[in-house]
Amino acid sequence: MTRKQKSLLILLPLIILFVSLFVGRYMIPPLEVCQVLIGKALSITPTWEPKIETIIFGVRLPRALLALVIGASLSISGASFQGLFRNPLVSPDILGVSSGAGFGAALAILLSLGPAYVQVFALAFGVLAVCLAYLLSRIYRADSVIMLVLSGVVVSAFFGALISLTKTVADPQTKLPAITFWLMGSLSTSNLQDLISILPFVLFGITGLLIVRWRINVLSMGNEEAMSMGLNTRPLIAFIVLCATLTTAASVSVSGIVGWVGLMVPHLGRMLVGPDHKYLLPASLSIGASYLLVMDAIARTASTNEIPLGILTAIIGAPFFAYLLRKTRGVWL
Amino acid sequence: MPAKLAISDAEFSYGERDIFHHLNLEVMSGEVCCILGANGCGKTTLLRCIAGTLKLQSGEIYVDGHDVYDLKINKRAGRIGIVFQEHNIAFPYNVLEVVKMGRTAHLNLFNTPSRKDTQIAEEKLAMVGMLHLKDKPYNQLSGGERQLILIARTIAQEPEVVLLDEPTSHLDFRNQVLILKIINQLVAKGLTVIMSTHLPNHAFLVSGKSAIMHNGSFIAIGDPTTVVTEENMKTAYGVDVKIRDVALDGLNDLIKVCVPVLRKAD
Repeated sequence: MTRKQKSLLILLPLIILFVSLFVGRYMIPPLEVCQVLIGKALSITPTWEPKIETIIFGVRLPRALLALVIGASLSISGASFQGLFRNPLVSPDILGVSSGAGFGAALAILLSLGPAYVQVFALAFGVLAVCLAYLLSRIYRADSVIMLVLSGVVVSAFFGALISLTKTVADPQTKLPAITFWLMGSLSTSNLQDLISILPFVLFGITGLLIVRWRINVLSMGNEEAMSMGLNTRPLIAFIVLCATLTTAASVSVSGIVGWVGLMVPHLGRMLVGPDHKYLLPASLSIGASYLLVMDAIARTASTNEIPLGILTAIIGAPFFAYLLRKTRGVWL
Repeated sequence: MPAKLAISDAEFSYGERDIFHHLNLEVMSGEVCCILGANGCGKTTLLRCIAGTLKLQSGEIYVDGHDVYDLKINKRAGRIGIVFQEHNIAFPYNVLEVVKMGRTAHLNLFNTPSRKDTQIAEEKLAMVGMLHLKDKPYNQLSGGERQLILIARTIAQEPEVVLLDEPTSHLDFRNQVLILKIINQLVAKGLTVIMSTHLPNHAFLVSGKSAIMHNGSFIAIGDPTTVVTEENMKTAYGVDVKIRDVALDGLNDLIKVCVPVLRKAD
């Protein structure tokens, strides 16, 4: 990674964060945003309208920070899983975390349990689904990541069916739309409390993945080869699965299912810094954070009714990715 | 002197399918041992057992007097390195990065390769003559170059015993010779090498002993000139061969060659 790339990757999310504070359906001039930010930092008596302060600190900043954190989480988990499973087509929900979380949320909505429970259920069932997949893969006693992927597919299918089941029994006037919208992903109801509640999980997971990131290179040579090079693969695989699952489940529990980010961003990372996970993971963090923040800014700005984030990430991301594939001819693969 | 590597009464089977049984082999420090045998006779399985990535059903494998299965994974990798035959790489890492992975056994959980590890990796690349490729993506290299890079990675692991599974398969004539030269260099540096091959001539070209595997056991172990015989080759491969002496320079410098007999009637 060159110095230029490094500074770009550090500055990019910060610049987008700043821009996202003044764009929106209610535009605030950039200068005024600076004024409020600096004024607040130095505790100057407000010369600005209280409404602006509320928009920036009460609404936009927490939401923007959440978008950064969630984009970063999904992307670093995706990059780690692609390395672990030696497959660039893998996304962070390969082991069933999203289907599990989706079912948890749908169940909580069905039982009319309130938003806090929706989040807790989503997190718990997301983690549960991955635990099931992991245990299922261990039954066969094979140290094979293929077995793990296969178990993940099985568990995903099972929880996917359970989601459909909750939808069929949900009240079509109130609960069905709530479940459907949750599954499409959005940050429209998010607040500072959401950010604080997921931060411990996300920080643990991201730190863990960053610590072992070089070892993902070795692991990506295949389980047996990695073992022959002296890597104790079984605990490492379990640790990577744990970290990626906690970050993804925590993120999904507040945003709902936001697809495509975790699959695509690692590829953007590889285009920029190459396949070495030592650089790819930090690059994915930065690009993922920036990408989701841009998408969320569009989601809340483009129309009077918010466009669900999960739709937007794919509707803009897919053609963009197709364009990059064509332009670079996939040389980074 | 005790053997560097000792296999005693080793037995392995995949479920019902018996691969080998009652295998015994001793390899001394600084010795090359060529394991000859037909495709599917169990050479690869044996090497994987020695590397500790497959477990024997019964019997023992000792390296320097330590049971390989009792050694911790990283300690074992510090003693025994292996170059696998089948190899596909999921991501286009560059060559130096691939070789640096060989340093895994010497790094603790929180470490990544240091400047010293990079230096060792470059040294080993230079040893196999591939330093000029260090910044190239590994997956764009030819088969011969890849094999040499993997050998460099394995010696960057700094093991005392190097296992090579069919190191010359899929390689052209020039690269086969190159690999054999490097094997002889490794042995000259004091490493112990165990390689599998199905080319009897390779047994004559590396300076060491040969073990001939057939039907799950060794039918002969010893100096290649005495064990790589027309009868043993007939047993192991089921084909008629002729083994002749060829003079290289003058009458004292003889080397044996093995050629299959193919008559027009066949």
